[in-house]
Amino acid sequence: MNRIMKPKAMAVVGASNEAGKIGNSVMKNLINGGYKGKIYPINPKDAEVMGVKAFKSVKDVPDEIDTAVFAVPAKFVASALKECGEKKIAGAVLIPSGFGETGNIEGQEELQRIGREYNIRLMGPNIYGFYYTPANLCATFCTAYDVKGSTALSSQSGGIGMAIIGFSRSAKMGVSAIVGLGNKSDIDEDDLLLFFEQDDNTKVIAQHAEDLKDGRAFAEVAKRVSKKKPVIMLKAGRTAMGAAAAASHTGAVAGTDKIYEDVLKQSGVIRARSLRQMLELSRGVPILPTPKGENVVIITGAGGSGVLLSDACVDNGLKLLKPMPDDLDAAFRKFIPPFGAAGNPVDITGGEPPITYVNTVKLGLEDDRVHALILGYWHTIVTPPMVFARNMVQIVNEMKAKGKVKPVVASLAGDVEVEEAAQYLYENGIPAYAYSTELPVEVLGAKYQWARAAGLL
Amino acid sequence: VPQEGVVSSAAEASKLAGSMGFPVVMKIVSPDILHKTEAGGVIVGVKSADEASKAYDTIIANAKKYKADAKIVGVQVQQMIKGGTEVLVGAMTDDSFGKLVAFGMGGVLVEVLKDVTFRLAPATQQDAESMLDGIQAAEMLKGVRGQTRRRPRGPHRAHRARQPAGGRLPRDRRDGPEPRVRVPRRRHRRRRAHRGELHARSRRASALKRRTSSRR
Repeated sequence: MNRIMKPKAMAVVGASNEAGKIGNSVMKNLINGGYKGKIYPINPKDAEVMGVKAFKSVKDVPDEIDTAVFAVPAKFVASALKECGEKKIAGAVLIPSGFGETGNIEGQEELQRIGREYNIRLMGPNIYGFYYTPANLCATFCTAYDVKGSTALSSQSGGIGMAIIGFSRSAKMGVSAIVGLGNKSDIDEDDLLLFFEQDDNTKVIAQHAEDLKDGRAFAEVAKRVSKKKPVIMLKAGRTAMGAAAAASHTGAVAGTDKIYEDVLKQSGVIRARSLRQMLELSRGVPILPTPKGENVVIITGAGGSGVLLSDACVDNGLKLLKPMPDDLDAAFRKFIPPFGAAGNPVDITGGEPPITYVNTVKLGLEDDRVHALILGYWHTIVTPPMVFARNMVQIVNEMKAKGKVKPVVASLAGDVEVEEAAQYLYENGIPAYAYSTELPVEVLGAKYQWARAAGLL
Repeated sequence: VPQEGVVSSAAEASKLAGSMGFPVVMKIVSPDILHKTEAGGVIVGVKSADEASKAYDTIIANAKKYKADAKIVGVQVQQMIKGGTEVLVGAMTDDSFGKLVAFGMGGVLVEVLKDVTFRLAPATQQDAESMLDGIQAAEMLKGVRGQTRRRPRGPHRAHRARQPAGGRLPRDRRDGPEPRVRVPRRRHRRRRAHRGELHARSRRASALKRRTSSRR
């Protein structure tokens, strides 16, 4: 897997000079993406592809090749794969479609046979390729992506893969890798877990899967990996019932999805309920510090947000610090107007200046009985969104410097300016959402779920 | 632990029932009949040797009516326990996850409420404990409305019941037949669970098929 994901030399089988061809897009992405390793275009006719010397076959290339990206029609894949085997290439990235997904099971089995015979690992077929940003590697025919970060994502479907790219770009989310798994003729989710487990560039792993070929292998690897790095899974096909499961009495009764639900939980995997949630968790979970205890405090300018945030805490398995210790309650009261409400949520009321947010948040960060904060901001003229955001980043960083490191998330209620504030907060380590009281709590809830399963709480 | 045994004649049924004491419950034992109540294969509250003999004939007749070609192993005679909460402890094979241990509320409740939770086999003690809270009816195990508070004592016994079930299972789904163990009743006051039936069915798993999938 290391040779495939971090190749020193790559071949592009079916590299092309003709714009619009997959073999052309792959070459463009490799070259323009800034990949530093060697690129060998394989083309039976042209002497050069995009200014790089081309070869008729991988066997003609004088040097060692780690990975071959395939951009040829399905019918040419098997013979080219054999040549890769003879060349002792470690991995084949099989972009071409027209195998298992169209009923060409035999074609796919032939590739598997060749793969086994020559010990070549197969990614795909029927995929967009993969991205590995630490190596500036975009082995794909889709749009290039270069924002580096610590989240590794994979998807079984190309469409979902593109949604990952679009979301990441839009949210300015850095990724370490994006991998297409497609028909999973060989490499599947647990292989990726094994690679990302030891990959220092990856801190969280998020996977979209329609099925797990070998659920037991996945569960066993996930159980180990999730102790070190959060593993998030979006399991699609929740309502499909396997015929085999139906044959077994209890399975048929409970449904396959319940098995996924329970086994993923048993393995410490965070299960995302929707595509959007998988993406938001991928973005938020790695930037939050691990909480040191279960006591969550909500500090809010909007009483209504406080109520919804409390509901969201229950939905996401978070425990509010209750009852608030008398001395802490009294300390909060000192900063808030008499008509505000202490307790938890701490309702500082809407018309307060920035200093009230700062004082109460500082208190929450300082006190060791509080382990995480959820902020509810209310957009007013007295405290505009960006003023709030800058103040929050400043106080959180100040406290961090004093060793008070706690997860903080924020829900922003206000006019459109809160979107900019949310982005600023996010980029500075505070997952924040405009117009949502659920998403920030889901992100915090996922961090807690992981920390508990990993035995850190 | 309620006594139990499988008989293959009406005379045997009344003799066995008499030896364990009344009332007893009698159930059809057939690999082809999974839903015994539906098939008229369960008679509860059998109070005498005479009734046991009649119940045997009724159950066999019902089973043949339900499925003429059903293979009939016999009729299970089981001492009837009153009170307690019926739970299910079972094992199953999933094509992807292999052997799994199941736990949930037993009897018709499993069919209606689908309140079952699963863990990979073999389940650890911690897994087993978590299963007790893993079902929606967890409160039932803790005792409601003046029932004996059973929960504090329950886990150990339920765990012991599951542990041999899970521990005995082959870990890999490609191995061997699938045992299916059901514990029809758990008597909380005695903290006892007992195994009712053991069916074994073989199933095929095709490694090749497993490796061939399609993307939608």
